[in-house]
Amino acid sequence: MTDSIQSHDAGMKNNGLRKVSIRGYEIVFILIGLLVVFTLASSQFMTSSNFINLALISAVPAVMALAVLSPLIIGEFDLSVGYSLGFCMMLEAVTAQHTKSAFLIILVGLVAGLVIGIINGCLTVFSKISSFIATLGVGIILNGGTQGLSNGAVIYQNIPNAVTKLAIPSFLALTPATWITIALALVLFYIYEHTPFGRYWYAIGGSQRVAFLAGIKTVRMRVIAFALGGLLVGVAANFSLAESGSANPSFGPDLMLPAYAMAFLGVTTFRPGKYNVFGTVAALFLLTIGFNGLSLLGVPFWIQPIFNGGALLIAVLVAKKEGRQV
Amino acid sequence: MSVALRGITKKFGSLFALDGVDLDVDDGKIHALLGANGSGKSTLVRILTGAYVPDSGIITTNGRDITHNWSPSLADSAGVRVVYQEAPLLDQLSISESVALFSGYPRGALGNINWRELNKSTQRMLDELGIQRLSRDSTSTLSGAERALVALEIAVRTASNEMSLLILDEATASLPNTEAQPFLQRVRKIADEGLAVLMVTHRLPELVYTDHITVIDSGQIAMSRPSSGVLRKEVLEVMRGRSDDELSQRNSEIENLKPQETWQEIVSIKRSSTQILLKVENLQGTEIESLSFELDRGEILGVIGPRGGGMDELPQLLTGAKQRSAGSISLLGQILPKKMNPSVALEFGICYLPADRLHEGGIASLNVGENAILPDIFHFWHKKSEEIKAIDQIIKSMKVVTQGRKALFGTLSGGNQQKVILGRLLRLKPNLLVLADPTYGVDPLARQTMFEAIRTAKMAGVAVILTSTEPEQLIDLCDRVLILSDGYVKDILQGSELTDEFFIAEGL
Repeated sequence: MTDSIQSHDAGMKNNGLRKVSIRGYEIVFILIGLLVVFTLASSQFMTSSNFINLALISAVPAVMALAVLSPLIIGEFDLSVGYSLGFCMMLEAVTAQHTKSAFLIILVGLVAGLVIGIINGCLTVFSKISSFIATLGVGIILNGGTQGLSNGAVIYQNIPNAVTKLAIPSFLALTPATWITIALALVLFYIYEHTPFGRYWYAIGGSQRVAFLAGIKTVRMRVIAFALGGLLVGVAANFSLAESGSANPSFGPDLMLPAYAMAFLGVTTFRPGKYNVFGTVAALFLLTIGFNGLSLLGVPFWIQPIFNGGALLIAVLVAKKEGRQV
Repeated sequence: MSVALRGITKKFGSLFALDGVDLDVDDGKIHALLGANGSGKSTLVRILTGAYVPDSGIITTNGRDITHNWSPSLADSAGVRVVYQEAPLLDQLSISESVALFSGYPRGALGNINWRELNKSTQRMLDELGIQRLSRDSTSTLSGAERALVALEIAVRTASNEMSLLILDEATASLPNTEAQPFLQRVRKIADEGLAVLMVTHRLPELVYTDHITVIDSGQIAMSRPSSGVLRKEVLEVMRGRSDDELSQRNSEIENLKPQETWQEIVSIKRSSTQILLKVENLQGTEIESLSFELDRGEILGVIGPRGGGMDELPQLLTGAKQRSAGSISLLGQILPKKMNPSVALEFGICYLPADRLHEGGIASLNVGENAILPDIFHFWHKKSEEIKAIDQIIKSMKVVTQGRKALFGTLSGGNQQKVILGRLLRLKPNLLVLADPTYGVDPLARQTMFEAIRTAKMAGVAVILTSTEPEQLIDLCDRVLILSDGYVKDILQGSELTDEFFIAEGL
């Protein structure tokens, strides 16, 4: 008996040790490791201009990742985000041909994103189509819309400076787009983790039926989750238009997979097993800085998708091996 | 071929799941295995199926030691077969194909599937079992009892001649008592033909079919005797034996709290009104044709009947889990809206415990605490300490065995999950508790805790509607029992009529 008590104690100690280990924070540690390695390996890496540039190009992927997060939390997919981004950008560029009001142009993008999100939500929730299919259908239609609006041509004329200002460094050498992205991440973190809204969403993601029977207004909450995702796509469209100063009809779809990769990769971090904001942001840092460092060391451009995909698979495999739910 | 275990020990970390267990399952005998959740029962079954390898001890068939390199495939070739609670049949396939997945497809000359042969042999099996379906019908047309029978038959047939042990792992837990009878009779027949059967069960009435009873507690054999002469009461006492001590040890910090007192604090109900609490008139759904009844405060109404007769539907219609097609429900004189969601029902103080715990009861991926206060998340916004207090109160008063409120709900045993869900509902101070088969797959000890909580709620003036597949439980608990059949009330039993004899007379 004494024997078993002693070994029990030893077991407890082990558990205690494991708790303060890096479990759930691997991405952060890998990130620190990468920072050190790249700083030593490349003189251009640890420079303010490099990081200012990284912050500039990260705003759009970051907001896109946050946009796919809210449907994912309730257990749904929004596959329209890429097409939707292209559509909103093109709609704004076309609006710019008719008005000089930057406010109106930005508003058009946000409203279009929101409406697309609500349509996705209604198709999924009321018509009970699988979100996978509903949002794919909506996305393909939007792609057609983008081609129609642009007639297949890039629109670069008449984009007001007030719009492109979003992507020009201002306060502390960061662009307004970057500042807004940081603010959005903080607000979303607060909503998901510290308000009933967020907890309802996680409950619905865990089991819609249980949430419904527990009196949670699942219909409303699910539509809102899609709407929020759509609105964020509208925000990303504005940043993207500001960055490039033009709308290209073939732009958008390529941004979807990286967004999902970040959201999935984020599941391994901070709140293991759950889609979460800080995990997603950490994943963004890892993928962006990882590829940036590699390209400074001279790897060719096509390494980026390979790096992103590889990082995602390895992270999820490691998490699985530790028995975490991913 | 009889199967025997000698001195089987299995440790997980420093915890003894099994500690020197001896067990003999003889040919032609049904051997019942009982034990509370967490007693080591499932570990024992998993050792027999090869899923676990014992740390020490031996497994023998016909006196031959077969423990060496013990594994699932070895157990399989030694002829161990298991029938689980959920029959592993695929709803989308025809009955023939469901069977063929296990017993193999008969082949034609070109290696093609010989459908005619398959359908014919499956039809023969169905006829033998007295199941009136065509082999080409969809598997989803089978009732729960029929699925269990088919699963049993598949298990026996795939083993052909080498079968040494048939294990029934709570195979009847999801069936109403009456519907379990053909299954148990079939098992008896299989045993009488000379097979060794190990029957894991929570249901004490089923023990009449068995030859030998073994009760396991904290990983050790607490009782092992021939069935004749064993009283149900004895079994319960043996099961309770050590588990209670262990429970109080695990929850040592709360030993001063008596559950009854806690609940009275929680369920303090405004008792002023003298109105009838619940009035149901001409209620209609898809199973229920027309149903009217009244229920008063502090009354426990049992509902029982054959599957499809309305017993499963009534709780759903009353709580908005399913929309009623006609009829009125009024609570304290207020008529509930025609289209009623669970959120509306909750506002009226109608709380629902669903029968399908796996899909409707709790959220496995959230923790115990989040599940315990699920309907009240908004109330606890920015009131963390209040929230923790509420959660701890549920854990303590329902004697939930958990590693804490942060433990994942999915890691709790079935009984403990159900206790959390019941605690969640009681904390909402309901007017009416609607419990659909609450003790399904729950061990007798957890059952007692739940019944105590339900009785305390009754004392506080809560009205309770409770369905069950086991008449026994209703006798203990209910003031009145409705027997529903074909969508109508077939009979109402109350007072002195609430006895085994009356239920047997009703064919239940």
